[in-house]
Amino acid sequence: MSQTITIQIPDDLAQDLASQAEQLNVSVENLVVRSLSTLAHTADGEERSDTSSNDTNSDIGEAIAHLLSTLHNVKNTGQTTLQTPLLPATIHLASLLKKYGLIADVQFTPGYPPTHLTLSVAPSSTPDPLPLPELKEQDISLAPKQTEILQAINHEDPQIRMQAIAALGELYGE
Amino acid sequence: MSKPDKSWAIALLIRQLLTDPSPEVRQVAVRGLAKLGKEDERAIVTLAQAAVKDQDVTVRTLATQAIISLYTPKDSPKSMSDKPKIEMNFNAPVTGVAGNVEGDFIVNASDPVVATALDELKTMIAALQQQHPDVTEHEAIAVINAEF
Repeated sequence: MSQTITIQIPDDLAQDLASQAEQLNVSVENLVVRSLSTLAHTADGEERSDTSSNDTNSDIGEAIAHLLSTLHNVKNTGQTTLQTPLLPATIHLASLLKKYGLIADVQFTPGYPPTHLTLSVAPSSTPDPLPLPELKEQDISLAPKQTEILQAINHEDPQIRMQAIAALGELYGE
Repeated sequence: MSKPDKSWAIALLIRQLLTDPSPEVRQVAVRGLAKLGKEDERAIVTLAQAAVKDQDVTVRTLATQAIISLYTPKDSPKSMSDKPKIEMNFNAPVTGVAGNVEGDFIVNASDPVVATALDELKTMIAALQQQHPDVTEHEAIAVINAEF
């Protein structure tokens, strides 16, 4: 027995869900149902609405740290898969990692409701997945400040490069 | 001349994080991406790449922390240990004594002594409301202090 619920979501959220569903090889509906199911089973009682965001912060930190450190150690451990708790953050991050080739695949673990994602580690021979952005000074007419930063960031002295990066953060930071 | 948009700055930071030979420079680049790249998936992936592949342990640690910070809201609510097991919203408006006294005091009422004290306090305020229906807000403070 099931029920049909029609909801309106923002376009950008719909696009994100479609992208994540594609990375996970599931339908958007399947992704949403799984996410809602996980949410519904993460806690019970009134405490859920008051504490879930804090618990999730802690869970997110632990899950991401574990995920990244495991990926770092793959060469030594020979591990080919790893599991991470099923959280919106881990779904998003895993989808990005797959999209850019840092992992080979990502799947929901079997079972209902799903509690984890299984990440298949990319072979070590995988080439650098993220192409470096090309920065051609002549292609863009830079303001003096940007020109100064670009020159400094290419300087041989690392101290000057650090100052340039810091200036970049100050210039574009919110 | 024009000011390039933020994506130009992010691209610059990505390049430095992935290629700069100095770990100190890469560390600063991580901080920059954490600051600018919240909504940029290239920034997130680059940070993940640094967290996984960078040779410098400090860069890896900072990159991991940066990703965590990008995925977690800054305004964290109180920790679970701070949350009372039972919440009592003492939110009944008490009019008359101080004009209109309203509160939203969340009190840990799991202790029966506290719960009893709260009941007594409610009763006392209700009685004061009836005894002094016309006092001003300023006078109400003196009335309550005298009662206590």
